[in-house]
Amino acid sequence: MGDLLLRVKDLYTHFYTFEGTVKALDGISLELKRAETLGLVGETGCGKSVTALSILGLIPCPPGKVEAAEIWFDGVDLLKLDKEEMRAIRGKKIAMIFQEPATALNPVFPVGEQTAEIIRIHKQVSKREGMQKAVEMFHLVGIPDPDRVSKKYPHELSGGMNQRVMIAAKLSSNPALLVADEPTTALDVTVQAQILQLMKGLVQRFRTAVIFITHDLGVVAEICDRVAVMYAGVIVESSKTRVLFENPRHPYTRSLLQAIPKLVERIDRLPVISGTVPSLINPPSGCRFHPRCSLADSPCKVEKPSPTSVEAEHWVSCFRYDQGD
Amino acid sequence: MLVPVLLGVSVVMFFITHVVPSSPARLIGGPHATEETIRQIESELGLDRPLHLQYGIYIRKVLSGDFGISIHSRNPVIEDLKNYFPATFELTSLAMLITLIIGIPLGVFSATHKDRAADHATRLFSLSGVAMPLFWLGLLLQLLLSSYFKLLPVGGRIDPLVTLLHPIRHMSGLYLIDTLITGNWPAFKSAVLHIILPTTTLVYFLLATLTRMSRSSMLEILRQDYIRNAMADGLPEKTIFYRYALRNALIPTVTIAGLTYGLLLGGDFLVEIIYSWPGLGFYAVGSMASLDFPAIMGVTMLVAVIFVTVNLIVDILYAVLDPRIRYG
Repeated sequence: MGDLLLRVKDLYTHFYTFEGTVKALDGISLELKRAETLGLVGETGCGKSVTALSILGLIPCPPGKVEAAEIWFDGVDLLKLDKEEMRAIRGKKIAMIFQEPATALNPVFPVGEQTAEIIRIHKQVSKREGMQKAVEMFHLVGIPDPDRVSKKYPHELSGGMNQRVMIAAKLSSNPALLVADEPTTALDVTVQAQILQLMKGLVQRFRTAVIFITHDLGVVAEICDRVAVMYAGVIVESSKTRVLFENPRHPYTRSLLQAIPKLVERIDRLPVISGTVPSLINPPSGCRFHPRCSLADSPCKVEKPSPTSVEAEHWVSCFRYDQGD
Repeated sequence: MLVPVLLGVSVVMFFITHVVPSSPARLIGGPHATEETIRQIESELGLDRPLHLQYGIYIRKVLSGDFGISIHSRNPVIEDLKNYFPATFELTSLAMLITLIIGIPLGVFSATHKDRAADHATRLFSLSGVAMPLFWLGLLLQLLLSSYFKLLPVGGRIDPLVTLLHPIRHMSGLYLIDTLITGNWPAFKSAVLHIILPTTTLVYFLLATLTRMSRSSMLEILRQDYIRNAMADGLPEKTIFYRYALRNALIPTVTIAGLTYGLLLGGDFLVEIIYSWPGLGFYAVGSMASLDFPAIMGVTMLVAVIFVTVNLIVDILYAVLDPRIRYG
């Protein structure tokens, strides 16, 4: 296990609001090795981003509250760090890329200056060295004419270009872990492919581990080594990417994969998952998926299924995963 | 931009003042004047001619820098404005400067400590500033600091006795600056003592608005993606709050501050009256009471010019603060 970088155990993140307690995460456990890319897949609101923000200690508190048995990262338990120690890790050892590059960059500073600021703080270099390094990073992420672009403001650049700036800024301190929260969702499809290729190349080169948050199974297949499927604040299934696509065991994963149209088949209607995503203020008892599951049985309604090993490195949280093939 | 605004203001003001069902001639003539005397005064002042002709004459004179003679003070209006405006400018600018220096950091502090004791205290303080009428606060301060404790003068701009012994050389018309440059310490001291109360009153009132404004725009900015992103980058809180967030939060704050400043430069009437501060507001109130048309018109035109100018400065500041705004 010397290669282990991150181990999250029993992560519960709750938000205390006027309407009630939102149980956004209900016992998330995951592990990540160095230089490994883990895909975190699920619908909007299933807790993917909350998982990422919890790991980085960015959940606003109040109203949020993060509890876990441990969030172990590279030899330290992040939960035991104070504010200042946590800040030193953020951006330096764990970096995070957000979905909307246009709004995640500060509108009133040139992009080069913003990148240089991050470098300056984590590498303790002078302003000029920071700027030089920023331009180097811009060159590395394939920004044409990096010198000129570094003086531009975010609104003067395209979405793809802004996301390149973002990637440059985040990788500048050579973090061990990069959390990418839907980094390509806001971009055009062609630009998406370019950015994905770029990220894939860079993380391989720097041996950066990645948690790649997405709702796009195609993207997962493209770049992830392993994948964890989330539903309503729970990881329902996790395995190597290939295994998941070939042999999905959880009913939710199966329905998701069935909802992807295939090129060779002609169908009029795509299969859908009946019902809607449950409220996390008042989540269903037992297995959170049972009201929408065609295989649901009486134990599913009372007891919460724990992860069961189906085969090597393939876990599924379901009582009836072996039914209904 | 300036020209149509001034033209509009002059037309509206001119006609409003002239349709008032009372004549300055009656005021000048006094209660016992005969109809004939009044008619004579009216024809002297040109008030017997048709309104549009009167307006035409007025505009022609204004264009050559002649705002007419004040009926009340018997001085050229332009001279009166030159005498009274610096007092308002001095008071308002000092109050605004202090407000900005205290108000913005206070708003930021309040926002970054949201819902904690310091935030509640700040909000209570600024709420009291909004709720408390200016004249009431002014009277309380006068009563406490001038009457009971005799620490500060009740009103006026400077002690006349001091100016008699140590005459002020008028350069900018701003007593604080003029006395400071010439090293006239007794006069400087007197000017400082006199400006404390009116400034405090104004600052308390202005702080309320500005602190609330910068607090709320700061809170709005702190919710933005780029702030969370900066936190994820591990930037220190001080950098995030005072560099990343404040620069963005200043944009709406500058608007409010600029507009208020422009408004007050036109005469902070209440404060000037309470403290007998010989500024534009003081002059304007006096002119209105005596139906001094040329003076009222002069004040109005000056206020319009100031307001438009301040607006222009605010617009320029926008572009400095926010690179997304560019004027062609």
